[in-house]
Amino acid sequence: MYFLLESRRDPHPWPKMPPNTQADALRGTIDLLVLKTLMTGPQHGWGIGERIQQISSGVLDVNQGSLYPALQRLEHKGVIESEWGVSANNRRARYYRLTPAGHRALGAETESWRRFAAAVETVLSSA
Amino acid sequence: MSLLKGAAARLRSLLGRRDAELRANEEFRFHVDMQTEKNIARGMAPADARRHAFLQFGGVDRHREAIRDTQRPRVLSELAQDARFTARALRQNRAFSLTAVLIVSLGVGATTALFSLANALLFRELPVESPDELYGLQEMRRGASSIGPEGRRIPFSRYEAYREASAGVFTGLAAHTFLTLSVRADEGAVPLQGALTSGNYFSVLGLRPAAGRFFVDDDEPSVVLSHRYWQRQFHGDPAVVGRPVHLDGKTYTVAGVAPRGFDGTVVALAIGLWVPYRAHVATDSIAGASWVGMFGRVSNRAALGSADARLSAIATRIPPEAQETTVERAYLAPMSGVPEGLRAPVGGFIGMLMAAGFLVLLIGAANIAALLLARAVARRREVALRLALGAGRGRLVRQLLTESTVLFLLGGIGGIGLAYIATGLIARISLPGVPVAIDATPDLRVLAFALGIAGLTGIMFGLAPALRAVRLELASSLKDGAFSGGTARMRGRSIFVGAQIAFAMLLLITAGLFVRGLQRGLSLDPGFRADGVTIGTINLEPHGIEEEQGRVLQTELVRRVRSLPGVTAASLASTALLTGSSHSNDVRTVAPDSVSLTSSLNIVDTAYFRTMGIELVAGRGFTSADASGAPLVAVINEALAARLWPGRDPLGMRLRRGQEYEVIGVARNGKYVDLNEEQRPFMFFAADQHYAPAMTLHVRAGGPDARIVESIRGELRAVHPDVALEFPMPLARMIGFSLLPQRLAAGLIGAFGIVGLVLAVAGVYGVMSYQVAQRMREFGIRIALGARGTDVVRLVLRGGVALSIGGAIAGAAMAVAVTRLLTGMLFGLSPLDPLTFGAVGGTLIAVAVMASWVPARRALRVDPTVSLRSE
Repeated sequence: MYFLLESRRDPHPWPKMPPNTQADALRGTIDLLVLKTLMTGPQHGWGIGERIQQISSGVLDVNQGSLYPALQRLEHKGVIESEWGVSANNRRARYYRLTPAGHRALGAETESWRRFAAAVETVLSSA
Repeated sequence: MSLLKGAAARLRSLLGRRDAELRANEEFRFHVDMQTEKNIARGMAPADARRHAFLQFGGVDRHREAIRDTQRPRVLSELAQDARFTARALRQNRAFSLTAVLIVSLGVGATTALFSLANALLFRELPVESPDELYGLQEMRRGASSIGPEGRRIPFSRYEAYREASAGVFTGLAAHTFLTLSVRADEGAVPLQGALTSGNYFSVLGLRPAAGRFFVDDDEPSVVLSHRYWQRQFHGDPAVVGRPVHLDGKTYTVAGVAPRGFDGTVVALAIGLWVPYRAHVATDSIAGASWVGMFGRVSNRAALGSADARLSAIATRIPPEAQETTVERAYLAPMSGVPEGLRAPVGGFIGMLMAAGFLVLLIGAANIAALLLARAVARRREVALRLALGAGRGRLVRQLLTESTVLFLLGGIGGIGLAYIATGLIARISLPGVPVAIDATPDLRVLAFALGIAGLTGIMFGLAPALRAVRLELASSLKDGAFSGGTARMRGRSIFVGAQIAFAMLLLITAGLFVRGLQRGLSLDPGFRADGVTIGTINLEPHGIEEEQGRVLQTELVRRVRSLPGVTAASLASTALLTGSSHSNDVRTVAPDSVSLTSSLNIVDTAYFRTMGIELVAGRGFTSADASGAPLVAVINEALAARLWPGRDPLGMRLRRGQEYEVIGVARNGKYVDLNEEQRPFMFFAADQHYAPAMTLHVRAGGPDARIVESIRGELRAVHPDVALEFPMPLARMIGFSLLPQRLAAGLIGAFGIVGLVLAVAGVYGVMSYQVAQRMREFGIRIALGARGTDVVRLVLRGGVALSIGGAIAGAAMAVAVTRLLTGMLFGLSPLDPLTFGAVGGTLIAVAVMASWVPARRALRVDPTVSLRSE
């Protein structure tokens, strides 16, 4: 019976994860960065993107547009909320801010991120 | 609070998708504008700055799509994701998926086909209007000899009295009885299963004709064809309406055709045509054959409560047909297509086969679970990574479960396909003497059943591997090496494999018991020689032939048949032995201390004992001297003699059965009604002293059966052109059919057992191979430290042997618990038959050990230097 597993070209009989696994990792990162950015106060989408780029000194130069699905998702989770406001150049813009749940989530996400980073570090150093 | 907010946001998003789209557009525009400004500030030309801003933003459509995704309710989007993931997974490992689907198909198909049969026979409602409104009307009677609910059938005239008096209870009360009719055709008369009914039969059932109309009067000389018979005989020609048909020597007109799917009110018994009772039977004869059963429609539920009381009042008012009979009361019972008393045994038998099919499914599912487990182990690093990335364990389990469930559901669909094929075969079943029509085509209930058991087993057997996959310690798994395969993991697999062996053992023991029981049944001495005897029934009663003419016809027929070439003996008897039919009466001795009991009987002519090879141990058989008018005589079997006159010579004794008879001979004991019976008391009476209009011709002849039957038909045609030879066939074949349940059980469960065995052996092989592969390094060390190859092989084999023996013992224990239920089907074989248990157990263990021998040999090939250096 097990020859079915053994004869695969792919040494892992289980399928590779779908492409959005990588996105998963990135997604977790973006979520964390967005929350971190909003800790300092309400901000519109463009501002959040700018801030992330600044903090990370350009390392996390992600596709700017992919920020918006992330914002939407976080809003669904209830960790951020948004309303229309007026921007510095006097235009209508959507402003996002952390909810109390968002403050708590930030703590947890930070913790889980540190754990992950440590795990990856372990893998890298042991292999 | 935030939960509520989240929910509110989700609800808003569901309702306001359009709003969200507008909002996204505005945000996107704002973003690009801001970026453009920034780019200009950095010194780009305005057009360049804008183009660049769009580039930096990335595909607008893609982002919009991503936003839309987040707005789908999460469970749904995750489910869709799981489904995509699963489809990819199944495609990527096609060999595994196909095998798994095939295995599940087999198990589900077997179980489902049997469930369709149970569904068709036991659960499905009659295809008539509001079947739940139909009730059978029965009487509780006290007769001359026996007491009990024997009033399922009554004379038609009694029904007529009921019909008039019971209008307050029933919307309509109908009557029906079953009868084999002789239909005149070009090649002589052909038997056909018919029903004689009251004129209102079809209107009470609420049916609509497929062609023509239904008859309405009790004495209308017209018939209604069944849809099936219409198709078979007339190829669905609508012009058949109005044509004449000749039944039992009378002429009728075809009034119409019953709707498709309606084969009568008894499940699996296919009626060919319906005839108005009074048109066929002018006056009731007291002989039971022409009595009818009653059923009526109760549209008014409120009437049900008082119905029994009102019907009992009517019942006691109608004078009974015989002086010694009193009718105590009448009562309603819900009408069922399954004759009372058959539901439990039929249900039990099909249930047993279904359970066997389900065991095959379980054995196969255990194999798949073991494979999934192996994959879960192989994937543990990836799972650990995903967990570290923050994926919820619940989510992961759900994803893994989706895969196994989809796999099983696909198997379920395959199983439904197999069940369709199997029910097609069931539809072609034919039994001698009974026109069977079983429409077991899967319906919605069957489909739900198939997908239900497939899905449930998928979840049951997918859960353990899924839980195993996520039950990991992160750090250790990420660093995992080969040594941490884990004995707990192996134990889980071993339990699956042990259960497989146990189930296979249970199946094979059951099949083995049936095979041994059959052997025993076939080797039983029935007390007569069935080989070379061809039987066929001739019923003169529906032709309105009176006794005097009937005797002449019977005698003439036997005389002609005896003179046929190849025929060595021919005889008439009222019942053919071992065909499941019997007729019995109360008998007692005439002495002052009279003994009374019920005994089966047969009315036979003078050539019977010689034709059948029944040995008389004392006295003589019937001769032409035992004619009507001569002193009444009887031949009894040893068992009846021992009961009536224990320890005394029965010859010359007198027994009483209505009248007094002198015992002139004693026949050796035999089997009479079915092979599985206990020793039954039996008695024979002389045909010359008791006229029976329906007799079975027994012909002993050499030569092919078909030619004998053709010659008999020719002689019958010469004697009376309208009488059909009903169900002619070799007696041995007829007896063979009485073993059908045992044959079916032995064949089906045996096949299931072999499939189960193969799957279990594959399981053993798999788990042992895996173990050997996992322990190669350990074996390498052992050999490096001086162990010999045979030691290593013994080490591996010990595990396999323990597994096989453990499984076999568990299977035997289960068998001990359940085979008691088979006692009544095994011809006296003990349900704990040691030979069966021993042989099956031995074979199973031997095969299982052989399956672990192959991987064990692989351990010999271990090269210590290689295996130590690997990893």
